[in-house]
Amino acid sequence: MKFPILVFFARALREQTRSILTYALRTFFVGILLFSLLYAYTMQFTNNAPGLSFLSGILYTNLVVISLLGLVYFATAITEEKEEMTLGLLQMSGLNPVSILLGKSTSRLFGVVFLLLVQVPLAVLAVTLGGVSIGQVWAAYATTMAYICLLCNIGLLFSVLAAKGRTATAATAMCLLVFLICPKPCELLIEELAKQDHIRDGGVIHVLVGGLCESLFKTSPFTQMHAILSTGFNASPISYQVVASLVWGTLFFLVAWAVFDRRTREQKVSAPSRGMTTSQTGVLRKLGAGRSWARALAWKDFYFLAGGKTRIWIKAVSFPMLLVGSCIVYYASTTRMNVRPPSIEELVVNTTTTILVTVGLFTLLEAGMFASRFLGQEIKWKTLSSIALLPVPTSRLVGMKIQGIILTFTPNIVFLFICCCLISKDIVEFLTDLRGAQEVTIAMVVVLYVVVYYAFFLYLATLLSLFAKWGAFAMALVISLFTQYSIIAIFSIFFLLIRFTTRHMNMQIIMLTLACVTAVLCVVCHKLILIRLESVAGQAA
Amino acid sequence: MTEHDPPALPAIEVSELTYRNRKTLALNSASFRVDEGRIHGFVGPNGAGKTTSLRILATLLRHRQGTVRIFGHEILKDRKKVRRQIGFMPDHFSMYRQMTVFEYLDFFGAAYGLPLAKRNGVIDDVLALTDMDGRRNDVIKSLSRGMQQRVSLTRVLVHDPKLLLLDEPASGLDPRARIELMEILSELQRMGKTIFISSHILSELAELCDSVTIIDRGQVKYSGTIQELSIEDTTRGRYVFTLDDHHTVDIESIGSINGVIEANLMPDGNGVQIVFDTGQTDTQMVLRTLLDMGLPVESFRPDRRHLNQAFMDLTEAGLSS
Repeated sequence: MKFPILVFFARALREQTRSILTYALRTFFVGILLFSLLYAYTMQFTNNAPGLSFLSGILYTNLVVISLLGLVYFATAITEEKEEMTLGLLQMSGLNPVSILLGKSTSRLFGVVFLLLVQVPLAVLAVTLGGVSIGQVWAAYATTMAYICLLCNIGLLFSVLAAKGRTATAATAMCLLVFLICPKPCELLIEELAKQDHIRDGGVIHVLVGGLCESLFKTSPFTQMHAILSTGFNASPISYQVVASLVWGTLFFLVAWAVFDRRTREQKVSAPSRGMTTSQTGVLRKLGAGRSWARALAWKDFYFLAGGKTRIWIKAVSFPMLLVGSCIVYYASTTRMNVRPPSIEELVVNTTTTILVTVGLFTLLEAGMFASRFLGQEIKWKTLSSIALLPVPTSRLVGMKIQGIILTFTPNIVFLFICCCLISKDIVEFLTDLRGAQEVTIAMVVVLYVVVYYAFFLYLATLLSLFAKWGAFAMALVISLFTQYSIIAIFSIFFLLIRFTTRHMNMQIIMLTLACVTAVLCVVCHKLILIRLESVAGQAA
Repeated sequence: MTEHDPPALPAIEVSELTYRNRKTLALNSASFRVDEGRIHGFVGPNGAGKTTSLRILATLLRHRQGTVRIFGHEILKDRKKVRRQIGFMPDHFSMYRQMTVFEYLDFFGAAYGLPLAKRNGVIDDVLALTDMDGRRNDVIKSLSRGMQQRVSLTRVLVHDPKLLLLDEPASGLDPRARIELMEILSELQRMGKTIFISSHILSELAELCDSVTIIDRGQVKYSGTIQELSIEDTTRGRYVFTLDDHHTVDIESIGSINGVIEANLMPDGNGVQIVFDTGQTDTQMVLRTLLDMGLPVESFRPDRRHLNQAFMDLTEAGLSS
């Protein structure tokens, strides 16, 4: 081919055209949009600006979906070749680094852009619904496109730097967090430090760091999207955010190009690592795997997937440290601000509640990560057929694997229980505050729904990991959100119609129905997982 | 076995097995049988249906037509019993390569329900058998391909199965590792194991196997002993006569010996391949004539190379298919 870059682009285009997944995804996106449109149209009698709420819904969803899926998609551009040991072959074929980088990134970039372009005709309909101008639509899509460029190049850089897709994804996620979350708090911190004379007001540090934070804050697509969707927006679509995103994107690309040769010179055979499990003979042999338990699969996953004793120790030490550290920081900050020092009870309740929520969320995320790996890894390393041959049913095999992983959650469970004990008085107060049978029922139904919904997310992450090479966790998050949104939208329309006839809308019934539908989806996922496992185990490599 | 003993059940009995993989007919009414204690070769070109057959035998794939019995157990009905009696080694490295050799074997021992007290002895035995004792604490991914293949074979032996299903175990191995593997398999046969081994090279299995099944495009083309395959053309004798040193050979005069149809110099120059009409002469007469001609015959053996020709004749797969 005359232009080497086009080799990848043409291949990606050909693959996308042939893959049924491409059309399924586009149909899915368009379906969701049509559905949102129908929902917005139904709600136009109760909403002053249905077009704006419809558009903002789409745009913020786009940003969240792109941030979740895009970071996995872009961060595996080069690591995919590294893990399959094909990067060397590409280099031998005479493709120079820039051709490989551009080829691999643009093919993926266009894949995402095409998905976005499918939406535009429907998004423009928001103008006819009212509350939004066409200029806002173009500006919003320009912002999203620029953000995709930025994300693509951050992912590309870490894909060059890291040896494995997982590491690259984690690094890209961290970098993205720095971009999206850190600038404002950092800017405030710098201002505070300057105010208290810890750094010179107007000095180099103040100006440089403050300026950088402000620039990064303005580069955030969320900041820009907020401005675009505000009433009276009339600026050019080519905003500071668009230009800055493109400049940052180019910078990341150039760094990726500069380090490409050095980071890809040596190719290592891709093999699973022992993770946190130490060897049986070293100094830390007590943290080693020891002898296999009677429940062999639980032993294997406990040590070689979930991190074993090392992970338990790390969590057992870090959780209490986090609590104690938070207490100290809270006490010090309130004392410093010349506020009345908190009483012991206040200190414990405030910090424990925060840490309880933090560790709780961490636990949910951790479980999600394991769900997206514990069966997917068997497929990735082609080990499924050897365990599928064991004289036990597939469901029991899966059960044993889960037992091994659950063991590593012991510190989380113990710590959360201790936290609950520390704030038991407040919990009891909250529960006794629930007045009447209806509030209790609603609370119970909400808890049931949350539990079922989370179970569905775990099932989905596991199921997707049996099909997708990467990104099962992010995909599960996105699909479960969409599924719930769709179910809620369907029921909202349905109950709206009922309300028109019966003048009665019952919250418990909506939540209960939602929980039941989600539970049915869990059962479907469960069956599909078992079918897929047997099917993959039977396939030749 | 006395005449009152019931006849031994065949290790494998496949009858009219048909398997369709989406639109492709992977196996078409395949039937064959493997007797207990034998090494049975399963040979066919790429895409012939070897791996599909092995995966069905290993209970990993479910067939819808035909019957498959392992030691008398119908594999669809008695999966659990069958799985205890078989050890399957797939054609790819299906291993937890982050584990050490010992951890790996210990894991599979426990997974097959061996109690802790018994596991040590079993692991020691299988490691000794495959000559891997010195490598028990090595992480598998640090081993060479040949060594990893041995670990894979060792894993198959941990739960002491009666039948070993090996899918192209010698692929990718260097000649030394191949020979060592074949020696281990012979030893396993002496221990009473039945071995069902697939390959796409018939001559590779000829020395090792008692019987062979040749499969092509899902159909069994031949199933029987190697000898029967060799002497299927009973009117021809094919032998290789090895000569001492690089002796000058007059091929034309050998070709004119009574009953000799064809005489060719071996590629290494150290011997002559002779094809003769068994109706007119026999091996002893040919040998005597060669000695009378003053040729320093060192040894002679049946020519296995013609197995390749038999294989080519029986199978048609390839570019033309």
